[in-house]
Amino acid sequence: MKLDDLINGVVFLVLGIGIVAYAQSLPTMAQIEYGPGFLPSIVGTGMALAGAALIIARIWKNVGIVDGWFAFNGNGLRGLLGVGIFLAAIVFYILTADTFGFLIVAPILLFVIVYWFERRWKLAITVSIVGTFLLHTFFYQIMKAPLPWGILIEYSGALTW
Amino acid sequence: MVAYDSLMLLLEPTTLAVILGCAVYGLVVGAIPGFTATMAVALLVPMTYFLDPVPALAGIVTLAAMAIFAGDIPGALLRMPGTPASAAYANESYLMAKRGEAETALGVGLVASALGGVFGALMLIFAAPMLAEISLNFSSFEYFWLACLGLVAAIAASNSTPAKGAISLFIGLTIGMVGLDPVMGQQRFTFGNINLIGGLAFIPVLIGLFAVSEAFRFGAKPVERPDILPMSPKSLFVGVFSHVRRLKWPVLRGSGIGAVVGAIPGAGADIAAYISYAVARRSSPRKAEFGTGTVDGIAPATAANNAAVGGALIPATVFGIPGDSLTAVIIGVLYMKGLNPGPTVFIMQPTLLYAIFIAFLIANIVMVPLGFGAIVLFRRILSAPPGVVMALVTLACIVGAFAVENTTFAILVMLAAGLLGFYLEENDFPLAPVILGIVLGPILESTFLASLAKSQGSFIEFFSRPIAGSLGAITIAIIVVPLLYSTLKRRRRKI
Repeated sequence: MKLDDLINGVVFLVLGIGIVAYAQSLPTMAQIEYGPGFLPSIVGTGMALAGAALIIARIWKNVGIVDGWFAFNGNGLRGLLGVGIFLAAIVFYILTADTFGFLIVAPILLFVIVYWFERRWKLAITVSIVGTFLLHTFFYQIMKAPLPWGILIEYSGALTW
Repeated sequence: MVAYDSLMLLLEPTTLAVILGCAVYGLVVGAIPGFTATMAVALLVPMTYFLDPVPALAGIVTLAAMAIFAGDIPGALLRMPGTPASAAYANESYLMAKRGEAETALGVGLVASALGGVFGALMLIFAAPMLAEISLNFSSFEYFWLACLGLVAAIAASNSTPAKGAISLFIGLTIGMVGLDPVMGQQRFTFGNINLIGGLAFIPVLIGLFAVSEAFRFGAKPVERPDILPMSPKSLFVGVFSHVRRLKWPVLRGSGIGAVVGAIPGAGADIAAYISYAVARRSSPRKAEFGTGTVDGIAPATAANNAAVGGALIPATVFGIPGDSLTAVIIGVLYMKGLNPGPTVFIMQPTLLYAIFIAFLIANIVMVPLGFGAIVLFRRILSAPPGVVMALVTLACIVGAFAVENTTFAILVMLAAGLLGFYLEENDFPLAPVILGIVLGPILESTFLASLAKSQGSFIEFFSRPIAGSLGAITIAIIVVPLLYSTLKRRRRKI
């Protein structure tokens, strides 16, 4: 999603000013002249100035112009949906993994992504099963990362190979 | 004795298996256009979290060395460099491949890469301890300026405009400030969220910026691959050694350039390759052949980008100052493994550190047979359906971010960092300064405050020590000189 540099500049100008304002709200100590707000003030000021520089370059030198203020550098609607698939897959995992467990959510996620891009359902099913098996084996069984079991908790013993 | 102990550490079966696995992984990822070496490392970091320091870091440096070489293969056969480091001479090797000389281009490239990598590793083994000895006398003033130099150079070396580089850097510094401040333990940018008190975890941010953003980019527009040019692996080494013997001095010079450029904070393997290519072109007796497809251009440049990896590890281990985004990640892993980079690590834990250095040296030697295998299997590597690769990458990102933090919040952080990385890259903001800002921000703040406390608030002290003063002058020059130059140029144009 490419934005016109005027928009990018304004975003960082405002964000920089916001950081400076926030830094002023941080407490200071009498003995220490440079407290917790010191670096945020510098960073905020720098960001605001760099944002302003983007705006100036855009207006004076016509740098970073995008027709219609923003452009999508992708394959149209299909590209947008392609980004959406990955976004939705991660959000889906966040929302459902604790309830349903890794072994149910991961194959669904893999199937949807592979099927969307490859349009081969046999391949998508194979990858979803083998991929889940490999990642679960590596992270849960070998690396001992506590991947969620969800509703499969009662079968965790049988499902640990 | 230290060398022997280090070697023994490396010869443990787990370590050897990790090194071999990382070598193969690095060659595969580096050979696929569109995947960066940093992305490969970002995905590997959560796995190394569960390993001992030596296999973890030996694996990462091996991966880095292999990925940089493997980028040459699609450069020659597809005209698409696998990593940015191969871009300088991708055209040269592609033109050779088009003439039916792909075997020579890749064979010479492989041997020169290995030679450059070995040179960089030897520089690292011998120069880093010497530099560490000198830097034992460094105080917070020198470290402050080194951190500043790293940050400023990262902006100067980025391919974008200085304003965009600076914004990337400030974003990184802001991310690094989330959590408790180093002076008062005051919460900053946490907005009452208890998950943020400990700061934004490094690994989920790293995975988001470099791997999840890659998935979004793939979703928007999958990389289109042209047809692979033909190549016969059987004749890969035919005539290669006579070329390498003829080009021994340019390769050595390229390796030297690579190691030095790599060691400069902010300049990475890609810049080293460009400089080495330009120097080789200027000093070659076969100048006219450059640009038409010649090994005389490929060998010195590919030696330089591999030597640069070793060079970049020098400031990373001695000062904790990263040369590029790859070494910024390595520094993050060093901290994670309790091997806090700095001169004292050479005294306190020399065996562990030398084991990593020796692993890097060995990686560059075994690059020849393993690289040969990658060239032979390139067609097969590329036949992996990209949708399958990206689906597995996405799930590995999720599991990796979760595994190191044991909280779903880490996946949320990863997703936010992924969206940020996607937005930044789409709008030509460089990613390297972000990661450098995250790593160097806390060092910058703590060394600045410690220095001010020592000098009782006087800024003159920042310049009164000779090394600190010189580093300060270089840092300021990097900011001021380009500004003065562009102002003078504008004035001259008006006159």
